[in-house]
Amino acid sequence: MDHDLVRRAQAGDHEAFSSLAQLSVRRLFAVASRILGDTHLAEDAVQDALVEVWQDLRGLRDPEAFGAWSMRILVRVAHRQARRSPRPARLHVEAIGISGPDEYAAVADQELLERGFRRLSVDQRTILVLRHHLGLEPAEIADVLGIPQGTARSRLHYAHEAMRAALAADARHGGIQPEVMR
Amino acid sequence: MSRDRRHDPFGDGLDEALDGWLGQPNDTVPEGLARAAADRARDRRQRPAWIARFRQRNGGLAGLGGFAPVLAAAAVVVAVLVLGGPLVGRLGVPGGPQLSPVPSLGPTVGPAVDPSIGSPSASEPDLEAVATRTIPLAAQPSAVGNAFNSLWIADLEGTLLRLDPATGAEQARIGLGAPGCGPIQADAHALWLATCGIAGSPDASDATTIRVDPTTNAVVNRYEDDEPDGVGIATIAGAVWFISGPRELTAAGAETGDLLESIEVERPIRHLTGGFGALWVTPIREARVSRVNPADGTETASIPLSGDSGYVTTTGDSIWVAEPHQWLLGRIDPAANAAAGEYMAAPVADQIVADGRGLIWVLAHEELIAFDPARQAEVGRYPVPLHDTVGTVEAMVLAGDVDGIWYGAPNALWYVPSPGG
Repeated sequence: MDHDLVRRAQAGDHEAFSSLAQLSVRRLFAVASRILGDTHLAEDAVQDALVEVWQDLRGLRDPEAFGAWSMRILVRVAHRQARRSPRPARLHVEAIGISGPDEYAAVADQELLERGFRRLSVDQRTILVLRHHLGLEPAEIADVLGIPQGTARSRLHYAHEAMRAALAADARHGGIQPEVMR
Repeated sequence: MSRDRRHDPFGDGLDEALDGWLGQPNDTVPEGLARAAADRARDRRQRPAWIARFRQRNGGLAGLGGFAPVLAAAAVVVAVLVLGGPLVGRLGVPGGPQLSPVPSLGPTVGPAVDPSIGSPSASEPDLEAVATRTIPLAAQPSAVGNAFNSLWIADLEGTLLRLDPATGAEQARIGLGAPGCGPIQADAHALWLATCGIAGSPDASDATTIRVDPTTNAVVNRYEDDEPDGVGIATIAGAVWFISGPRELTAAGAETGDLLESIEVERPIRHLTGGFGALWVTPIREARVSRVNPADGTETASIPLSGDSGYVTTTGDSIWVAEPHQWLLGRIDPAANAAAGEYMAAPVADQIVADGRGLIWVLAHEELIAFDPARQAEVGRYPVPLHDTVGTVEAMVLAGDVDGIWYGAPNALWYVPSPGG
């Protein structure tokens, strides 16, 4: 991220902020759409987050932290969106082209993963997206979520286990998943 | 709750599978999204650094709920006193501290629901701020109970703590062997709860139901369960029933702990309660509550609901059921075997507890709601910290008390008095 753009936007330069928004939007939208499972909700979340970024930008002490800071705002806004909305209908990860048996298997795996993912809570979805989409380490996840590193590790562990349990339930019930597993 | 490895489709490759699936880069960003956001931002003024930092430290003020307007007013007063007139203009609208609104109640509800009921009657004060007592905890609770003049806290480390509610002093520490799963319930003789193993964890163990003797603080019975998909404990007619398999309920003697009988029901069970001479179970993914005769396992009534049923509990004259995906709280009249009302709650309501004043408390994923059945109205709504799950069982960290409830926050127990009490 261009730190000069951040500094200029902090000084009230709206054009600089527009450029920052252009540079950030793909990353923010990818995370929001995966957490919320709905492109329209994700669009709203990204817009709201970017407006909040603009309004609070002067509070950012270190321009180098803009990426994590804006992602933290996006995650918080997405959580607010999730509160107002039912669980995700479908996670929109765009389909790949299919050209052979291996790719059919890959698509089947994707459907399995999607069914499991839809059963997770919003915080579990969030932490898995931060880890597996953005590739963040637990310390970085902790920074984005504003939680201790140990808590981030613990939540990541339980999110994986919840995902595993949801997949197991799906297999046991022939694709119909129970809400609760012990 | 053993996890059958045959049903672990990705095994050790889950990380890699999630990397591949969630990591796909080919998102199509809606055209003009960044421009639209920038245009919206153009109409808003930037906040002064100190206000922006304060907001971000406090979760954008959303987490402060009902205190947000107070803080905003305080900010204006401070601005007037300290900085004089110019800043007041900067805090005005537009460009003032755009405080987060109280979240809407969400989806359209079915015809059985009175939409006027359960609307948020007040703003959302922070739960910790309204708690009148705090007992620090060293480990995050997964289940909380209140019985035998003690608080009982199970945690993700597999420990059951017994605490003095007056002082918070530890009275006993009991090893469970696996994380405790709520609800924690008591009969006249013993405390009952379930354990949930966590697949992949070195501490994983089979699902069990546990009976604890409060006079010795020892686990006196442990019943191995056969991979149940739900949790629930019900006491009726001297027997304690628990979910012992996907479609199986088992009874043990309340006084002795001896196994008495098992019955099988038609559909996999999510939750269980007992009352009015019957067992009440919520079948997984079905929009109904099933009334079961404990003598022979026959279903004597099937009560339709608007949404799929979840946690179920009994109070003096009703059965209460969560409809987690429709954000509803349902009340069933056991005399009529019919739903007597469905009220708005919050997303993913996981636990329902009554306090001594008769209020019904609903723990949802991110909110705690107090509902007054007499007025058929919501009387309190509080944001709560995200509670962890055990496997995929949501942590059940509410316990009723005489004039309020205990809530298990990640690092403390909070006592929350009944609103208006």
